[in-house]
Amino acid sequence: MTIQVSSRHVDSVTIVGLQGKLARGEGTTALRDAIRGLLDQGHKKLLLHLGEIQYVDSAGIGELVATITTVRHHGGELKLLKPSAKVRELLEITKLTKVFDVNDDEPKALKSFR
Amino acid sequence: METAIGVFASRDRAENACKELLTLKVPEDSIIFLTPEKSDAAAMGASVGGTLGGATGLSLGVAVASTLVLPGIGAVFALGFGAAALLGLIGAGAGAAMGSAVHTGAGGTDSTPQDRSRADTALFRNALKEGRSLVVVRTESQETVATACSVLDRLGLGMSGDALDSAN
Repeated sequence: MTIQVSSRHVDSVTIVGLQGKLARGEGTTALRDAIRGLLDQGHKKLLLHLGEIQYVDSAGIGELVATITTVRHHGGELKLLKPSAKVRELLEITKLTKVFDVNDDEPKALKSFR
Repeated sequence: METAIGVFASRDRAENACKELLTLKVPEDSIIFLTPEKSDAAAMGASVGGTLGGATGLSLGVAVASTLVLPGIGAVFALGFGAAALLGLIGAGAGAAMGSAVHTGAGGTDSTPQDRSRADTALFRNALKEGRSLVVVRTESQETVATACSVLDRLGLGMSGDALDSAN
């Protein structure tokens, strides 16, 4: 298993926990399926917890970009929570920090949803 | 549809990535190359396309070279199927493009190449603004995306799996 996906709900926000590798194949497919399932269930405020992601490849970057577009298309919001130092560095290098709202504090992140 | 994105500090390195992708038989029409131009793009015009096309190995048979001066970014050169439309979207503004993107599923097979382009616009715009070059591979083939990742992860900025693994 390259990635494990879990979810929990805090008020109207769904926190999606990712653990493992966000990489081509199983990793990107698992994220895609999880997000699609949540949107289908009407969950539109999504907080993606990246604290336990150990690896992101170029397909993972592509999937993150596709994911935020999908969520926005459904009228939702997607934010990132607690990326590890290296994942944050990758987000900054690729300028995804300007595409995503990235938070390190869960209560603040939850409060930031409209 | 899978999308692999590589961000590069230099145009040369991005060109090398394109060459490797082509050598490894990644279909030319699945590759998009974007790079900011340091000099006057308008003066360079189509000749740049020919030069870069030759340098990267892209035949331009399907791939079309485009150069556009974008507000806040400067001149951007793009090569590849759908690149011209992508440049237009970037120029039109990332926020609006992303907000109106018609995309029915993350990576879903019902999205068109242009939808996918809209999805990436904000990322591209910000990276180009910082002087980065980008190589994007879009494909339905798991084999092709695996090949693309092997190249983009090795040559792209911040994509070293070893570095990421060792930090965690």
